[in-house]
Amino acid sequence: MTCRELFELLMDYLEGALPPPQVELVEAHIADCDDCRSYIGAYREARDLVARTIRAEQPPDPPEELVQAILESRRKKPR
Amino acid sequence: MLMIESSPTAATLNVPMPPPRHTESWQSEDALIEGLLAHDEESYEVLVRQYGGSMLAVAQRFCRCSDEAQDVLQEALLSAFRGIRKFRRGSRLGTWLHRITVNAALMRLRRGASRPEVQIDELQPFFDSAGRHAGPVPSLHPTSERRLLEKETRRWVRACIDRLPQTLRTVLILRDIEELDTLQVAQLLDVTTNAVKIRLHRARLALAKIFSEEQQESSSVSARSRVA
Repeated sequence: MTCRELFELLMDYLEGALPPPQVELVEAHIADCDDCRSYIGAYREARDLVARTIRAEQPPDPPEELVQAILESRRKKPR
Repeated sequence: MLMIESSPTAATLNVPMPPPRHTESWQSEDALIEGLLAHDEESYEVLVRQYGGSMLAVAQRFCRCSDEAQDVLQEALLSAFRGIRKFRRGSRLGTWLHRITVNAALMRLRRGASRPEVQIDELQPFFDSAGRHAGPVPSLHPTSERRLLEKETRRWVRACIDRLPQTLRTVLILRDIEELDTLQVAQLLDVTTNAVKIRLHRARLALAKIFSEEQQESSSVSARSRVA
């Protein structure tokens, strides 16, 4: 398997959607190829970085003027 | 006056949105919904104050500027006020408001001035004629727990996500941040589930490269400043 062939299967591999014989081929390639290992490591790290920083953010307090503007807009609109 | 009851936990809310702020003044969802249905002024204010922060956080993830995110929050809340009769009892209010905010943000992105799409090809893997990697392969150092919590890290991550083309960025936010499933994203964007999977995969591949380039750039800046 070449790196190009591995990347054609990568999405399904990472989703657990590959049949076992192909999983074996992919994993054998990853074990032997520093570039693919590094790429896949970066892919996973990037996914985790997004989840663990942005998702963990404390919600901001909406500015008081905005709160008042929203309530005022509601009062002005017909029900 | 509405009854004050205990605050719901993140687990009981079962939504990607963090639990409401100001839990000390939390009123039960049922009482709050009754108040909204009765056009009670205080209930409107309670809704804005208790859920506004979480909704604004969602809006900020989609919008590239703070004014735009505030407009999205306003549109979402006014839409929730108007549509409260459509709220299905038994669902979580947080889930419903989250969906309304996501819809408002997507509408805003569709209406917004079209931005020139960033070239994505150079952020995807490329190969030589033998099928081996050609060009730099991304490599990312794990980020320490301490750094993950820093504002600067969050700003950096946001800036990297903002370098993605809009179509990929939207799918990444919906799947990896808002935690919607593939089918929900496909329905929201009116595309196939396969298109969602491919866009998400391309977005993550591109982001791996962007993070890696940025990390290397910042290491060389630090090294240069140490030498100077």
